[in-house]
This record gives sequence, structure tokens and C-alpha cells, in this order.
Amino acid sequence: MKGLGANDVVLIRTTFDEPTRILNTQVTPELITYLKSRFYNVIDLYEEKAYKEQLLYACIQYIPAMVLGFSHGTAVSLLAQDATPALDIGTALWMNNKIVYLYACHCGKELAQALIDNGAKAVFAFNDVVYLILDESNNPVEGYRETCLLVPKLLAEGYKVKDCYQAALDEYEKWIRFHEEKGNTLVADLLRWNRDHFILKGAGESTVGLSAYLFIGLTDVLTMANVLIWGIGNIALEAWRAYKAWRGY
Amino acid sequence: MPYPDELKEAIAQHALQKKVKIGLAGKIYSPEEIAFHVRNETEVGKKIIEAVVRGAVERLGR
Repeated sequence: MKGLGANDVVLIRTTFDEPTRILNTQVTPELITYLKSRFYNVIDLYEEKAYKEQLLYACIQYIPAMVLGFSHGTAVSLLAQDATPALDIGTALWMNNKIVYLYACHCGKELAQALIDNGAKAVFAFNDVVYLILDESNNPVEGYRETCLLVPKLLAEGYKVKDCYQAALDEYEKWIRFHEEKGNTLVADLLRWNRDHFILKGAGESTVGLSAYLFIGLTDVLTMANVLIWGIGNIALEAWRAYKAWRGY
Repeated sequence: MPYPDELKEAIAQHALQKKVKIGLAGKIYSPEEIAFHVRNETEVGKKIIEAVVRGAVERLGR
């Protein structure tokens, strides 16, 4: 067991077709940079690592507090790189005591509840298809990246699950209005579809980040205490030597 | 019940004009493909029409 648990995040990112390739080369890399900048240990199960066995290994070795999936999904499974299940109802117990974010179609239908029933703290998922919305240059439209990544970013900051969910709905609303005002009603309607099918199950009071920051804070306190004790010790030692020299020992 | 042709044509024209692309079910759909699927009410087309109708209903409700 290498990690401290609360500092570890597992990502599952597949690239087995064009939508997942765009999602995981143009959108999710920003999230990895963000998590690392917040001192999270990111276990990135990308492409050839995005398999069930690797997920199990990561869950045993690191005990992550948060698991994030960016792939295709079905009602009962999140898919691996070869389109077999990486996480499904049969392996739902692996998510015990974790917060799970599944950016994949349909996972909110049955899988999300199965994860909760098997001990997951909270699950974010979609209970229908999720649209990847692109401009003519195959870049995600404005607001897509923001709505996709907001929840994991806020979780990493230590916000409560229910507050992350509400913030995500507000973010969707902001970008829906933005595109409506620009006359891009189809983009607005597809973002609205994603928002309307985004669900949260589990304990809204759960958080991820606290212990990570507590750990960093404790590290600072211990460092300062160490310097202080070392300083006092040195002063005492020098005083003792001076005393001995004065007494002619 | 099929959707009205006027609605399908309006969505198809909007997708072509705004050059929107959609990633869905393992495929990227170009504006021309979106227009085709909407006009022919395929499974993908029906999903898109449903999203647009939901959006229109919400806008009308404001």
C-alpha cells in the first residue's frame, strides 16, 4: 500500500474510438494537471492501462478516495479500452468508501445505484446518453470542458458532494444561456440534455480533499517543530560547551 | 408519432449553418450527418430532436 488513501485519485481514460479519443486528449489532460497541482497522487489508467485488472490493482494498492471514469458506458458498466467492462455491477464493491464520477453514457441507470448499495460514498453519473459537442475544427465547444471537469476539480478542493453537484448544474445553466444568447440553440439544447441527465446518488455531505490538506498542514507544522527543536537543541549544546570551557573541563 | 417535417428541417438547417458536430455512441457526426439523421428520424436523429424539443419547452417556460 503506497498511498495515503485520501491523496490518491484513480482515473480511467479510454481512447478506443473518436469521441473518447477527443475527450481524453483534449479535455481530461487538464484535469490531471489540476489534480497534480493540488498535490494529489494521480493514478492514470490511460489507454492500454484502462482495464478491469488495472483498476482492481489500483484500488488495492492505493486505496483512492476518488475514482473518475471518462469512457463509454452502459446501464450496468463503465467500459475499458477493449469495450469490455472495467467496472460493473459485479465489481461494484471495489468502490466501497469512494466518491465516483462517471462521465459516460447510461451509467446512472443501474451502475450508480449498485455502487451506492456496495458502499460508495457518492456517485455522479448520467442516466442517458452524454453528448460530446464539437465545433467544425473538432474542438469541444465553449463551456463543454468546464462542465465536464468542474465536479472533480471541486471535489479535489474539498467541497461537499452536494455543493459540487449544485455548482455543476449552475455551470451548465451559465453555458446554456451563453450559447442561447449567441444563437447556438442546438449547442445549448445538447448541453441542457447533459445537465438534465446528470445525477447524484449517495451522501451529499461527503468530501474528498480534507485529509489531503490536513496532511499538508501537518507536514508544515512538523517541519516548523523540527526546525524549532533543532534550533533550541543547538543553542543548548553550544551553551553547555561554553559552560564546560568556562569551568575548565 | 413522427415529428413534423418543418421541425426536422429547421433543426437540420441550424446544424448545417452553425457547423455543430456531435460525438455519440462511438462516432463523430458531422453537420451533414446530423442533418441526415434528423431528417430521416433515425435513432440518433430522434435523440437530437428530443433534446431540441426539451430545450424549446424550457425556453418557452421562461
